[in-house]
Parts: sequence; structure tokens; C-alpha cells
Amino acid sequence: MIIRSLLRRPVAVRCLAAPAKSFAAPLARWKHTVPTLADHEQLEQHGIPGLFSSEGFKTAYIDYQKLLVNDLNDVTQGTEHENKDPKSLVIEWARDPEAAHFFNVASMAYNNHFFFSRIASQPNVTSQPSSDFVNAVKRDFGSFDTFRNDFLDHAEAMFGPGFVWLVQANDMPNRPLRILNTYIAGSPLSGAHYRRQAKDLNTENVDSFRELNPVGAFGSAAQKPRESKKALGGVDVVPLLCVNTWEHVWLKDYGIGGKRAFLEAWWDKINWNVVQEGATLTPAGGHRQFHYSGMNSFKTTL
Amino acid sequence: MIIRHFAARNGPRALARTAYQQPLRRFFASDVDGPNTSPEHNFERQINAQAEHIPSLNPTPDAEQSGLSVAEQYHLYKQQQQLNGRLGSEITEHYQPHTLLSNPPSSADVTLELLLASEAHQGHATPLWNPANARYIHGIRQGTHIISLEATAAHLRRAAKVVQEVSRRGGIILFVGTREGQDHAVVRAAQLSKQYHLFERWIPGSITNGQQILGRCRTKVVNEKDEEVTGFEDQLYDRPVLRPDLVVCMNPLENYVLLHECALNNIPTIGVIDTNADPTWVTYPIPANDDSLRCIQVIAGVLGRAAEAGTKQRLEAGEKGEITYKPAHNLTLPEAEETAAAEKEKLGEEKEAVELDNELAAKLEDIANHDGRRLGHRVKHSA
Repeated sequence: MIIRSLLRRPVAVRCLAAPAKSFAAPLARWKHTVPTLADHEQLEQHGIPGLFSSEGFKTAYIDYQKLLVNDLNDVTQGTEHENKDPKSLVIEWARDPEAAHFFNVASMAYNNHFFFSRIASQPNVTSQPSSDFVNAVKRDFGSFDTFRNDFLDHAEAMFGPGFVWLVQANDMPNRPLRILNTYIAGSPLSGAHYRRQAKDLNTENVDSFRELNPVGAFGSAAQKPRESKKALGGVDVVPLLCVNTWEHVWLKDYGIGGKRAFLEAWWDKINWNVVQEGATLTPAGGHRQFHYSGMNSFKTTL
Repeated sequence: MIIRHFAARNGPRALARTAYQQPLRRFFASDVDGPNTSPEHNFERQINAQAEHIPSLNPTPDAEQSGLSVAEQYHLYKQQQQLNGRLGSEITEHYQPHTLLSNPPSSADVTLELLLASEAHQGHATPLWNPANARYIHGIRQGTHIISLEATAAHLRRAAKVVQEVSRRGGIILFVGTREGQDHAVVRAAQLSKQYHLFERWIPGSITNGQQILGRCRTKVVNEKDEEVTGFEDQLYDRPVLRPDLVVCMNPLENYVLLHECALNNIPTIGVIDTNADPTWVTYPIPANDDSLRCIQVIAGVLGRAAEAGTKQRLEAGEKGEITYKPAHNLTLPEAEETAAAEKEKLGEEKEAVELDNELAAKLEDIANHDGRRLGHRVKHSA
């Protein structure tokens, strides 16, 4: 009985095999969508007052993020990477040179959203950092103004597109705050350090940048002590804040020479509450430790 | 002030050391190997490193100061994931298989779309059907029967109500799923509701010949808050084997013996009835596809959630001091026994001695006579 019923079904089997795969994309559901920011509609209409006009914001976020999200969908749909968030994809693809383009797309999506999530969108509100945060900045940079100048100088000095990050190194004692550059689509995430791209290789050589010469048992890299095995969930650095220095972000509103003006306008629009949330801060009056702060009066000369 | 003096004292030496170690670096781009270093920070670190040798300026460094403990790191990681883990894009809602076990749907979440996506409508080839199921069948497609999802939903909700009420009344519910892959679903349902599960073969006679098969299992007496009450060991020794008050079976076709035993002993049963199964084997059939693990996980999830709700109601009543069930028959409190014994002691030592002797003799006789099997037991607990 069963055998007969199976034989009677070849028509059905053929029907199941029929559907054409000529156009896969329109039939599939879009999995990644542009993330909404706080006050998203207001931002679309008015931009970010004091930083971006509405057209500038549209170019920098709405259109560009849409581009990245569409690329992500094209890349991941139907594969094992479907439905994974961009952060996991960045860490997955950082080690694989053949997935370089995919990494770039995922990393830019992550970094660009990170940049916009740390901007205060309310028009008349200037966010101020808490005293704990200011103390941590003073401890690591000398003063808040020094920190600002340092950060903006880093961003201005980078030639070409990239990001400048404020990170907290949780592996070191006192968990210091540091500034980190990533060129083009580099990522500060600890699992993606292969593609951190903290260096512009055009301005480095073997002597200045040790990591250019990693091969050989007698190389300088071999002299480095091996990093201790981290416990589960160990993080190298925690990104807190970033600025997107890609030209398309500021070109429309600030013009071709307007990088510095953009950076300064951006500084006033930072949402320090979100930045502090990610930082581990010791409250003022924690146990005293010897730390040397205020290096700015000393120049590194021989 | 201290810093400047120290630098003034040791500055030239420190600088000289730096120069010796890295002679050519300074001519090129700043030595920024990563976020940890910069020219100023290098210098700062060297100063600090030297400062560590001076005990008065530096407290003894803690072992954990330089690195976080595992718990701290994990907490930090979780915090970071919450803040930065979802950045980049918003992913539209999609099917995640593990959520059927980690967060099962409840009776209110049962929709025709959910049942369709779980392949609950797929019946067997038409020649294999049991005509008693005709009322549940929607139609035929490609030579197989399609189960009506409205019937499935209605019967599932009814079964959920039964399960919830039995659980609320303190009944013992046994979730049975003996096919490969059904174990996780039944265990999860039992865990949610603090009831019982079975995913290995049902041993025939566990109800009809329970004394023999389940005779060695431990039983316990619990109060209205599900806390164990000690002191009943002697009384439990003589009690009969416990039986389930409701059996939920995910694959009735392979469990005919279990369902028959339940019927012989007036134990209501709920079962997932496919188009080739016999709906008269169970008290409350749920017409659905028993060959699909996803469908079984949905059904077991819904019934597990219902039982969880019932258990919650029972325990809430217990917190208020109300009981939703009839207490066990013929159990006297250990205190009542003790007072009875104390009264006996008052009568006299001789009598007591005689009685004690009698008791001792009785116990010795008992030990000599019985073949090592106790009488009163309970069906095994789930974890």
C-alpha cells in the first residue's frame, strides 16, 4: 500500500522541484533594516541642529546606512550568516582576507551607527559629562581641554577616511581611557584586531611599526612576551565614543575644507550620558594610587 | 609636586634609558602600537614602573588589580553586549528554533500561523488514515491528509485548560515523549511546572503492577508550599504506589500499553493524534502532526506553560494558607504520634517495657519476614 502511494506521487515531486531561482532577492524578506535613532523623525526633518543639516544627515546616515544594510542583506541572505547581528559578523570575518569586502560592509554599518548613537539629538540640550568621567579623563589626559584637543587633532591629522575612538582598556590597571584611530573601515572590537587598521601604512616603516615585520623567529615580534590567556569574556578595549571622519559625512554641510569645523561642531553635540554608560568609572575618593598625570609640559626629545 | 621632583631627580636617567632602548623610534611617526601607548604614555609608564620600586609612593599592587576576575569580566562582557551588541542594523523578527524550548508559547499565543509554521497540519498518506479522524481532517493535498488547524487549536486550548486545572489541584502530571528528539520538549514541560517526564520506554505494568515495578522508589510528604515534611517515614512505608493523575503523550502510536493501563485505572490522558492514530486511545485528543519535532515542541510548550500556571496558582494559594486539593488519606502528623507515645509512657514503666518489647518483637518479625521491598512509594521525580 505504501509503495503504491509513493509511486503515485512523482507528479507532486516534480512540482516541488519546479520553482525557478532566477530572481532570489525580491522574494526574500529583508532581514537587516536601518536602525532608528532616538527622535528619528525629527532628525530626518531637521537634521542635527548645530552639526548636520537635514540633507547632510540624510547623506551621512539615512542613505549611507541604507546602502550598507542592503549590502549586508545581499551578502548574508541564504547563507549561514543570515540573521546574525553586524557585530558578530565583524568578528567572524576579520580574520578572513577573502571576506574583506563583507568585513568592510559590516564594520562600516557598526561604526556608523555607533557614531550616530553617541550624538545628542535634542536641539537645545548640551550634554555634560559627569564628575567621575571628568576625573577619569583628567587622570589619563591631564585635563578635559587637553583631551578634546588631543582627540580632535588625531581626527584632523588622519589623512583619508576613518574613525577616531575613545576606548577604555580594561586589561590594564586603573582601566585607562585611550584614543584609537582606525583607518577606512577598521574595527576597534577585540575579536577583530586583525582588521583594526590603526596604522596608515604609507607613513610607517619597519623601524617605526614593529608589526610590519611579524615573520621570523628572530624578528622583534618574537621578542614580545606572549599575552596571558584571558578569562572567558575578556575584552581588550571597550569602545566608548567615536567620530566618523569619512568625507561624505561632512562634505555637504562643511565643504571641502571643513573637516576641522565639522569636528568642532561635533564635539559640542556629544551625548556624554551614553558615553559614560559604557565606561567603568571609579568614584572620586577611591583608594589613592600613584599615577603620573599631566605629561603635556614635557616634550619627547632626545 | 612629588611628581615633578621625582622627574627632576630621575628625569635625565630615565630619558637616557629610554633613548638607549629605542634609539631610532623618535624620528618616525609616533610609536602608537595600539591604544595603550603614545610617547607621553610610554614615558609615563616608565616613570610609574620605576615608582613601583619605591614602597612609600606605591601601595602593594593587588593580584586582581592588574586583571579582572572571571566573574567581573563576564559581567563587563554582558554589560557591553547590552550597550553595543546590537549596533549596525536592526534585524527583522525571524524564527529561532531554540526559543521553543527556552521560552515556550502559552495557550494565548497559539495562532493558526504558528501551527502552520510548525507543520502541525501535515497528515499521513490517505490510504493510511484512521477513519475515526475524519472530523479533524480539512482535506487532501498531494495524496496526504491535511489536518484542520482550527480543530488543532481548539483541542490544544481545551487540553491546556485540563492540564492547568489538574496542576492547580495538585495532581501528578506525566509528560511522555518516547520518540527520538522529543526528550527536550517533555523535560522542559515538566521542569516548568514541577511535574514529571518520561522519554525512555514505558515499562509495561508500571501502573497495573506498580507495587512490583516502582516499589523501591522514594516517596515524600510535602506541605501546601511544596516543602518536604519529615517524620512520615513509617507511615509512608505502608502506603501504596503513587499513580499519575493525568498523562500527556506526544506519540500515542508507540505508547499503546501506557494509554491502555491509564484507561484501566481511570487516569485521563491527552495525546497528539495524527491522521493514522486512533483517537479513542486518549481522553482528550489533539489532532496534529506527531512526526514533526517543531509541532511537538509547540504542543509540549503550550501544555507545559499551562501546567506552570496551575502550579503557580496552587503555590500562591499555599502562601495564603489555602489548599486547593484534598490532603492525603490516613496520614497522621508526627507530633500527634509523639503525644500518643508520651501518654503511653505515663501509664507505667512495666507496661511501657512490655509494649516496647512487643514493638521490638514486631519489628524484628517484620524484618525477618519481608523480602526487602517497601510498600509505599511515589513515581520518580523530575529534576
